[in-house]
Amino acid sequence: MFKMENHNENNFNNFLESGIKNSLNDNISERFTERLLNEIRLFEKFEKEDSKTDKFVKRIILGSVTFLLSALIAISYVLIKKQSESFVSKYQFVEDISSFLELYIQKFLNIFGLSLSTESFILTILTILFLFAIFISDKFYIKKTRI
Amino acid sequence: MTENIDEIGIESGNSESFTKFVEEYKNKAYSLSLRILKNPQEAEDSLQESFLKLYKSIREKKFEKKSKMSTYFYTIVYNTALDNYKKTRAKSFNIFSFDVNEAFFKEGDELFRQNDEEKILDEIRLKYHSETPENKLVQKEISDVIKKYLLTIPEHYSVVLNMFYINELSYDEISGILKLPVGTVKNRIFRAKEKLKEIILKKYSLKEVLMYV
Repeated sequence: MFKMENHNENNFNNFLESGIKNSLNDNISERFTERLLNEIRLFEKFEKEDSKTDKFVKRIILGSVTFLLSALIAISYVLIKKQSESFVSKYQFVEDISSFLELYIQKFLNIFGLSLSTESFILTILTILFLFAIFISDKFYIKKTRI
Repeated sequence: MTENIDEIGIESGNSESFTKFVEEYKNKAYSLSLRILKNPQEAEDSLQESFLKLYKSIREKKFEKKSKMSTYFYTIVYNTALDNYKKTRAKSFNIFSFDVNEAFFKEGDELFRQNDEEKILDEIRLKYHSETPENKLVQKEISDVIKKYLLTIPEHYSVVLNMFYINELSYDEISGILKLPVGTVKNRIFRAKEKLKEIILKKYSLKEVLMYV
């Protein structure tokens, strides 16, 4: 540590600080701003395209989830209604479809060594789909508007 | 200095205001980026990435208006440069990649090795050897000593000096960006300056130096 008089020390410090400032001050290339603004324009352009794709994907996902849910609700309705004699006699095809579905579900569950009733299976699938629909809505719709 | 988010004009779509903001900050931010990356092209690319990050974060309303715009921007510049530095290191050492914070930002390192000090003074002596040792050359020589010194000291000193003198950040702001205690920040600035004083006064008399103040 070097000892020096106060005013000399102040002058020396000022000299050092201005030397440090001059040495650290670097200038970026002149075309930097132009390149950056072009990059931002490109970003905005891609963002618009991404937003269109995003909307399209969202519609596809929403459509698929709605279709699956409706199909499952319809199947459940058919399987429950099958128990009513008048309904079956009125719509013979209901009996055929429901028998096929029951057989299909039983065979499908057997693959995994499970034995669930058709109603329980449908209820499980419906619950899973419902949770999936909530997850999708949260990820793509709710979170986007939350700030 | 632009400190208000509304003055940048991103939210209102005013590109002129944003251009003004870029012009105002680009050189100071470039110095910071260069201190970490050392390579001018990499520093420029990293800075472009930082401006884009700022742009996106304002558009996506991630910037909290309670903090200062300059501090927020320099935090982005610092973190982006550090990330890019890590990526570059990882490329060269694809098996033994290491953490830059651990390797270069550890407290208690030697600020300056004796060899480096001798090297700087020797280079300056050689450069001006053929010339008459007139007083007018002293200022140029000292300025070269400072430049070489700042290039030789470890990044954790030059980054703090840059933030303090070029980016004009306060001790608290630097401490917030680097996630270091304020005392450490002050200590680094003090030590870096003291060492520089010592180097200069080893070769030049105080009278010689103060002649140009």
